[in-house]
Amino acid sequence: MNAKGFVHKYGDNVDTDVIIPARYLNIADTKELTTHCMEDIDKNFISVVKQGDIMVAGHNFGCGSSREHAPLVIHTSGIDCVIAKSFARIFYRNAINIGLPIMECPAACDGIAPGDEVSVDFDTGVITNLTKNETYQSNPFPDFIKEIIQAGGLMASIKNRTGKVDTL
Amino acid sequence: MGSMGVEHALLPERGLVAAGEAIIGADSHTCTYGALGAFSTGIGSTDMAAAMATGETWFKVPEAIRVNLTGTLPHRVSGKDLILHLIGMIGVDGALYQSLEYSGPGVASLTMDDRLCIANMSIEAGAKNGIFPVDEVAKEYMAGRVNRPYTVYEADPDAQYVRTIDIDLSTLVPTVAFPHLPGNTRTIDQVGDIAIDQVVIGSCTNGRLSDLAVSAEIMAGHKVAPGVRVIVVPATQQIYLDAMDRGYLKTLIEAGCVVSTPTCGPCMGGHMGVMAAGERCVSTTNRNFVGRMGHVDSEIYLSSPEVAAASAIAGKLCDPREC
Repeated sequence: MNAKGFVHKYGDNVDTDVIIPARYLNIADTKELTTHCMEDIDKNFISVVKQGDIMVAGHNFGCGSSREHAPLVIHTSGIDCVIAKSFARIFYRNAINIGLPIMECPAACDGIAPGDEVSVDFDTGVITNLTKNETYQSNPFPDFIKEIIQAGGLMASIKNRTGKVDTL
Repeated sequence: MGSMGVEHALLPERGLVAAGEAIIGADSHTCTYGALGAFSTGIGSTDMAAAMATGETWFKVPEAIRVNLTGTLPHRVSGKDLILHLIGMIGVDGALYQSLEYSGPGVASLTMDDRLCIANMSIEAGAKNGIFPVDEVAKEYMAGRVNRPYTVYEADPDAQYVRTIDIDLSTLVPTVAFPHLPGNTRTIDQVGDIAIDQVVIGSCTNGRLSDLAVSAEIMAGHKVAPGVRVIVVPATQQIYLDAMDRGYLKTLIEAGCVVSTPTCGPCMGGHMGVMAAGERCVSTTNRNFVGRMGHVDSEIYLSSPEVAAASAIAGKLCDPREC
């Protein structure tokens, strides 16, 4: 499991209200919902983000609401991994549950600049800044989290394990 | 629909949550039920569905921060001021992945409404949960509501804490969180001259009967300042009825407030009081992030109902101790 892409960088306490404002939460179509990703903090994000890009931020990323739309629209916007100094705990779980890989690594967040090209090895936890030729060590996922992300999220993972949730 | 309410006010009121229970909910303010001595925490909707489908979920046991309370709250200072003070002290990630355990002799003087408010906003310090001891006040609240046996857990005498925070309740003063973080707090003497366009009194944090009672007490005989919209939202139908029976709503309406049926609407800019660019709101809700209540260029000042009611009359942020 790996990710490689260019970086969009933000500061501390990026909250769920700026990731996806509540005024859009009645949009059921993920594609349309995604057009509003990061709108209240970075209007340009959605027009410049490319498939495979990486998001980097400071402390307490994803604080606020339990809305799962937040990691979902980040993932569907094209972002393959979010690296932050720390994550709010509900966002952390939600990201894993919908299959968005996330890494906690303060050194990477200090070292990486917007636009840097970065690769992430989820098995070893090594984050490589290809632009600056630096590496940073994060903790790799424990196996059960790796299994959820590889399956594409918690629902698919449970289905794989039990085959019992077809009705979901 | 006629028996609905804001979730975190309704569930305790109906006795659907109780001491000793492990509770998950697909809303971040599920931590409210820690006021009753439950382990209660918010999760996402996929986590929720998976737990309902399998009967299981996973947790990392959190480290705990002990919040040791002494003294009693002064006049016109309430649980909201305590939790805003605490978040201001430790920051919006000051309890990240951790449990906030409220304890000490000061707990006894806190009403259930105060405790529900404090546990509710523990998430705003990043906490996994906030939890109170189950004392006589909590047992009395659950009596007649909870119709099943419940378990009272107490912290071990030799429990290890990552840190202890001592707060003397008698030293607290009205506290306001300025835009755009709940941890961006100032005491009322430091707020300066902040003219306002709107006041919201309600939500899962402060839409309970005592919140409406103190608002009515402060606003009785006064009028809302010209040009200010004041929206009062009882959090449940029962609170609405009780506030009506006791005359609080009459007092508030006579003062110039609008009273709404129970809703979460204004708190996250969903319905009613959606803010325009450049507007400022004093709100008893729990989050003041950019764009939370409407336009990205609007501002939210989080406060107690006491500060909100006093500010409604003054047309600017105002010290309720002067009313």
